[in-house]
Amino acid sequence: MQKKYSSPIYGQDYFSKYVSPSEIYIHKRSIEANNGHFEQHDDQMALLLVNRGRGKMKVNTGTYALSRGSVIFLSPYHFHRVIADTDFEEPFEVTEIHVSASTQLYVTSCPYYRNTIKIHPAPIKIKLDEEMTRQIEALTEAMMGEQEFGALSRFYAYMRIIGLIERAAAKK
Amino acid sequence: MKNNDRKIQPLHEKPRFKFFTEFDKLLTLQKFTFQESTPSIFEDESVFLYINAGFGTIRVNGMNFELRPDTFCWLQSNHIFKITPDWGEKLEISACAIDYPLITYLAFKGDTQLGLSAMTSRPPIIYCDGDLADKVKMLFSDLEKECLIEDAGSGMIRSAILGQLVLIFNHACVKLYKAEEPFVLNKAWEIHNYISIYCAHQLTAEEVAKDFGLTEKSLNQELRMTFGMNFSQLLTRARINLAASTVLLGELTFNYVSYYVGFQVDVAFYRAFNEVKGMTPQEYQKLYTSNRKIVNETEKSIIHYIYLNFREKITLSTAAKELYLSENVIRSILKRSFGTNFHALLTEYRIRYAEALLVVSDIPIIDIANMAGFNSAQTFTRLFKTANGMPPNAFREKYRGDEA
Repeated sequence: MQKKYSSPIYGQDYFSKYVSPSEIYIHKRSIEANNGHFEQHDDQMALLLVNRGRGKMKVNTGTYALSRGSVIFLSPYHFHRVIADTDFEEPFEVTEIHVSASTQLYVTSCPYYRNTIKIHPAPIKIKLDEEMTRQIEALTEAMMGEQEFGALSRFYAYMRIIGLIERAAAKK
Repeated sequence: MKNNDRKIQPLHEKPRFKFFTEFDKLLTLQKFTFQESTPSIFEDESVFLYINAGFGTIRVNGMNFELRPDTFCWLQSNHIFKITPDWGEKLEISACAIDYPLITYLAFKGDTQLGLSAMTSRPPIIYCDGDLADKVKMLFSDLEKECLIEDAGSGMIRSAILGQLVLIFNHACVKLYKAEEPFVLNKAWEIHNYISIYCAHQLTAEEVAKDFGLTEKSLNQELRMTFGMNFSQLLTRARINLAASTVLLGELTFNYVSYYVGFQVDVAFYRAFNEVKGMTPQEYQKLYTSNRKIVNETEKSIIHYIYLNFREKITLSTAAKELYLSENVIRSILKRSFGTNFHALLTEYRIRYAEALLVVSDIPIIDIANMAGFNSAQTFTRLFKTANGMPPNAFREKYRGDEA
């Protein structure tokens, strides 16, 4: 089934229909052991931050090692599965943020964001230092606890996370 | 709001433009200590002020408001303001300018709290205390830290912090609005709001004066007393400010912009732009896009379309039809932005998707070809071979091997 579009003449009209700040979902979960099946989300980007523990992730044909401070950014066509390292004493805990592809495009179109839209065939994986991990953790905590200001506030927090990740990627 | 005195405090001096909002000051935190009055300031962009210490007054559009520690102001391009510290007081102020294209970006369409009329008719000042003051102070200090860093992420982070400030200001303002009696504007303020909102229409001083129950002469007098400018000067300024943010959207010709903001002759637009901004529209566009990008909606819509539909039987011509663009426009945009063509991009997505399905499932190859949007298994095998150097079967066997 093809989706029907109306005319995107110019301005925000096009994206106003597909982007809404409420399309950002965040949750924290701890992974026991082998987490069964592969997941893939149509029209959704996924951002994973490892809070505690150690494990690995299989994405399409690649395997990526994860530990505290690892961030992995997945596109809609990435099938992924998270596997905990049971030998490690700490439980494996990750924070997941799901964003629709159009919201992600909207975020990257911020006028002061200097990078242009890129297409990544492989997932982006970055290892953050302790300070940056704390900063992002504080932002995700705020996103999860947010009551007063609603969805828009979550969106701005997400923008800050993307900015921080961009910074970490540039450092490398 | 305590001060609902509609009597206008006349302006005694020529307004000063670009005090906080010089091009290189946008999105940076500026700190000021005022021991005496500032000139009357009339900005082209909007600016946040936060009082860190000291007492004083701020006169906005001829109305006086008290300034005390933890006062948070959001001043717009339709506010003319003058800050005066109390006698012997030092006013310590943090300021940050934010441009209108960014506000447009931050405010999602349909968010009524940020609509133009809401923004123009709201009191520009709130008094913070307790939690609210802590939050705002925290954001200002985050912004200050960010200003020391200049890298790939800082623009995005600063924009987001400003978005949070906008959000907090609006929420607090709405609360204040409901709790106390409605905020009453003075006449000149109302007239200027009307001008800023309807500047793209063919307004004449006579008609506007009639709407407000004034004569043309008294209208101009009222405006000159408050803003130091008459009706047609204010109208031109409002139009040029609108044009300046429109120019930064890209993709629009200057002729169209000139017509869109209400000029009937192009020459008049170019002359007025030069007078207000001190440079030509071309120079303005070049300067203001040197540190940011033009938000290209078309580019985004093409990528978005491919993202959503690559599993279907789409081609360049269906994309052109769905997106109301010509095929040549799509071709040239993809060439310019990604150095590739529509078909290659589409195949790239499809192959990645098929690769994933091959490795994680037992679906037969002919079905995978169909699911990934290829016309036939033969086409799929051929393209897959070109991309990965091996047929799908071999790929599946090779990468299945290391599966746990």
